[in-house]
This record gives sequence, C-alpha cells and structure tokens, in this order.
Amino acid sequence: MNILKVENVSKIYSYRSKKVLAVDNISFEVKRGEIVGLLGPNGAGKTTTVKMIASLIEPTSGSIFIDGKNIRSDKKHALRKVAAVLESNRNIYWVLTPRQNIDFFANAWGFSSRSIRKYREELLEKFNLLEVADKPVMKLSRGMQQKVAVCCALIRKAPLLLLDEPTLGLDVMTTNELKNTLREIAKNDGNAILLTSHNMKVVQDICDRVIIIKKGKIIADDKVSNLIDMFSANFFKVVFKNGNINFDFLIGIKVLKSYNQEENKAVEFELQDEDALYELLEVIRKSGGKLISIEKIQPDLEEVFIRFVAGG
Amino acid sequence: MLNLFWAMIKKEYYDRRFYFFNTLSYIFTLYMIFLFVFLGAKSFLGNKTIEGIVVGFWIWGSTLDSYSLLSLSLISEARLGTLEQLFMIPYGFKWVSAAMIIANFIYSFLIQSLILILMMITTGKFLHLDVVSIIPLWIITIIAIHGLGFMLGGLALIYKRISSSYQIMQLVFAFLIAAPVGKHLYLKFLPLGLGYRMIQKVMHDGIKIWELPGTDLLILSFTSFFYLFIGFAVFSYFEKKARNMGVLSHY
Repeated sequence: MNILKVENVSKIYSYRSKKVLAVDNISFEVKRGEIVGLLGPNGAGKTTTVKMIASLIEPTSGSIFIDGKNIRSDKKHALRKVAAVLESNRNIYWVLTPRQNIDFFANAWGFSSRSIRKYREELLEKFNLLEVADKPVMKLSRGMQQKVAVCCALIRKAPLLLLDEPTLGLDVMTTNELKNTLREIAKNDGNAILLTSHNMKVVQDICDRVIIIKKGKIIADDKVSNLIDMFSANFFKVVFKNGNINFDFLIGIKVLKSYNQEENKAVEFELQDEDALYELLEVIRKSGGKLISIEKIQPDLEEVFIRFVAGG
Repeated sequence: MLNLFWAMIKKEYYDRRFYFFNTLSYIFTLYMIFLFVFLGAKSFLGNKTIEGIVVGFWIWGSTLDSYSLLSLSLISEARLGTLEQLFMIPYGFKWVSAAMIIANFIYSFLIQSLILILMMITTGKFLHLDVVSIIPLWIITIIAIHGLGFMLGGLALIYKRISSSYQIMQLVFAFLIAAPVGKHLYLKFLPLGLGYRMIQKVMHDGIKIWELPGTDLLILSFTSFFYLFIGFAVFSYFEKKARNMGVLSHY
C-alpha cells in the first residue's frame, strides 16, 4: 500500500518579478517498507520536493497524500504520518541531552514520556547512544548528533520518514551504521523512507528505488538494479600488457578508470560508439600491446546518475 | 495536547538550567538598571513615586521577557534548525506558540517575582502581594505584548534580521507603561498602560481585582486579546508567505 502519493506537483518561486520553476509537474508514489532515493544535481528541486511533502513549502499546484490524507486539506492527520530530518544534525536542541531531545519531540507530538520510554531506550541502544544519552548534544560528535536527530524523528512512530542528506559529513563507520539501521527500520518496522543524498554509494546500498530529478522534472524512476542494467551494455573493461596508449584521443570512448592490474594495464570505459571498440583494439595492437581480456562491466549508480543528468 | 505544553515547559527549564549564568546575569542587569532608575528618581523626585517605579519596572521586565519570546526565540529556533520541526507538529503552530507562551509565563513570572522582591528590599517599600488579583491582571496585560511579539516574529520569517528593533521597543514599552491613561481615554486602548495602572492599584493601594472598575477590566481584556489576535493574524499571514517563498528556515 502507498504511504506517499505525489500527484502532478509543481512549485514556482516568485522573486520580485522573476519566476523560477523549481519543481515541474512531478508524480510518484512510495510504498510502506520501501526506501526511495531522490537524486539530482544541486538546484534540481530535491529539497523543495521533500519540504513540500513535509508541508513546509506550499506547492503551487498538485496534491500530496500521506497515508491517503491530503497534506493541504487534512494537514493535522497527514503530519501525524510523517517525520523528517531536514538539516542533518541541526534539527535538534543542542542544549538538551539525547534523552531530553527524544522526550521533547515525542511529547510535542502528543506521546507521554511514559508511553515512549521503552522505545526511546531501544532506539538509543540501536543507535549506540546509550553511553552518551545524558550528555548535552553539543558535546557529541557530528555523527552522534545526526543519529540523535534520526531517533527524534523515529520516536514519533510515523510510517513515512524523510531524510535530507542523512550521511552528510559522517565518517565511513557511522555512515555504515546509519545505513544498516535505516535498512532494519524499513524491513522490520515497515517504515517508508524517502531520502536525498549526494552519496551514491549510500543510495545504491540501501535504496530499493531511485528517482532522479533534473531541473525540477523526474527523468528516471526505477529500481536501482534496472537503472544500472540500462547502461551496463555500454560499459567495458579491457586488460592488456605492453604498449603505452593515450586513450583520451579516441573518439567514441569515455575513459572511466585506468589502472595497473598486476603486471598488466586495465582500462574501464564507457562506449559511446560501437565502432570505437574495434578502433581501440586496433590502437592497442598497433602500439605493440597484447590484449589479455575484454569484458562487460556493471556501472555503479554514480555513473548511471551522471549519464542521466548529463544526457537526460 | 497536555504533552505538548509539558514538553515546552520542560524544554524551557532545561534551557534556563543550562544557561543558568545567563539567567543570573539577566537578573543582575535588570536589577542594576533598576538601581540607576531608583536612585535617579529618588534624588530628583523624592520618595513619592517609588512604588510606581517598582511596579512599572516589574511590568517592564515582564514585557521584555514576553516580547523577546516570540520575536527573538523564533529567530533563534530558525538558526538552530528546529523551527521547521516545530512547524511540523501536527497540532499546528498556534498551539505550539500557545505552549511556548505558557512556558514563558511561568519562568518569566518566577524571575520577575525574584526581581520584584529584590526591588522591594532595596527600596524598603513592601507592596501588597495579592497573587489572586495580581496574576490574572499581569497575564492579561502581558498577553498584548505577545501579540506584538507575534507581529515581529512574522516579519522575522520573511525579513530575517529584525533584532535591532528590540532596542527601540524597550523604549516604546517604557513610554506605554508611563502613558497617562487617566487623562486620555484613548490611551487605555494601547497595550500596557491600563494594565500597569490596575496592577499598581492592587499592589500599592491594596485593592482587590473585583474592586477595580468593571469597564477598565473589560477594556484591558478586550485590548490585550485584540492585540494578541491581530499579532497572530499578522504572523499567520507571514507564515503562509514564508511557506510559499520556501524561506521558513532560511537565516
């Protein structure tokens, strides 16, 4: 069942006499238990979209439904179903401790401290925050602050969680920890998560689906694996030995990576013209190089994203 | 809903406990300002007006607390990044701000009462502390200021830097308190002046709230809630505008 339905939503910002189309007639849905990544270059309209869903920005046209409730006409009920971490670690009170922050947001949403105590402690444990639960948030690391912000969102038990750049500024360990927890939340608790991120690795690892926005328009909306497959036909790796070749001069080939593989040389590239592959092999041969192998490779989400944004 | 009010009261407590030194220095600063006013007034005017100055200063201090709550606090919440979270509370921002006002009433009343006691000890003028009469009059008088706070808070959502007006408003409040409402009827319809006179009658003359003129009580209640309503309407207008412009949290 859909927890979020965005229907023909547009947003036009007016600055004096100038009008800027930030979001252009987008529609998509998110199911319960699904993790969806909202990707796009800077200024594509990701944050505007997320903030419209959180009712913080008024759409110019279109409708947004959260668990069937219209965010405009039934705002009170719709807001009960959504929680958001929008400015990473800045969504919480730095003077308060993690426990006090979680209590505050639960109380503000109408839950009594007693009713959430067990869940609060579970969250603190799940996010490895028990040891620092009574320290002011300002004394915690950025990663910990980020996790407290997520806990404050989760304590509201809203079925839809909006995360704007949840891993921004986090180290690898904390990013992995957060990734695992988000996956667990979606799988075990059935929460739907809509997240924006510039970290393609995170999106590729945890998202079931990816929506790519460019200039306010959705240019791709599919499973991560489908998007990768769509481009994998054009991605190759050639391994050869001897020969010193500058591939940059070859037309129809976009070199992605060039490195040494044991005593051989390896080049990963995207083929933009079928004939260019034969040309490349010819260049290797002419330069005295010996072809060892040629294989198709899977591009990662970052490459797919770049392809979409550049060409889409 | 009660949980929301409880959340705000607790947060305000944690905040003030964490910045305890700031609270102490605030009390000290207000007390020092009072000392200058008191000593100046005593040397120029003698002992005749001391009670009026104590009550007036008490109202003025409470006014500053209330005014800064919705104007400066909104800016501070926006800077912290928590304002958007407050706007997402399902009860709606009007109830969130009501909870903020009540939490502020409690702590402001406690702090200002402490300053009042200090002022009474300093001046040797012990006023009638009839809390049953004083608290309702104090709340109704200060409510008007929350209206002004809402107006400025609304402006702050769009225009952001408005804190310089805080200094001017301190003077405006002093003038409003000192307004000769007994001489000019229309001045009763401005914030603070009438409330101050009524509180002064209770604290200085020992009059009970039910012994005060009914029309004055009606005018005070009407004007205070009118300013609150107007302030909230202005705030709602600018809130809507900020949502349209997408600048609710930009500072």
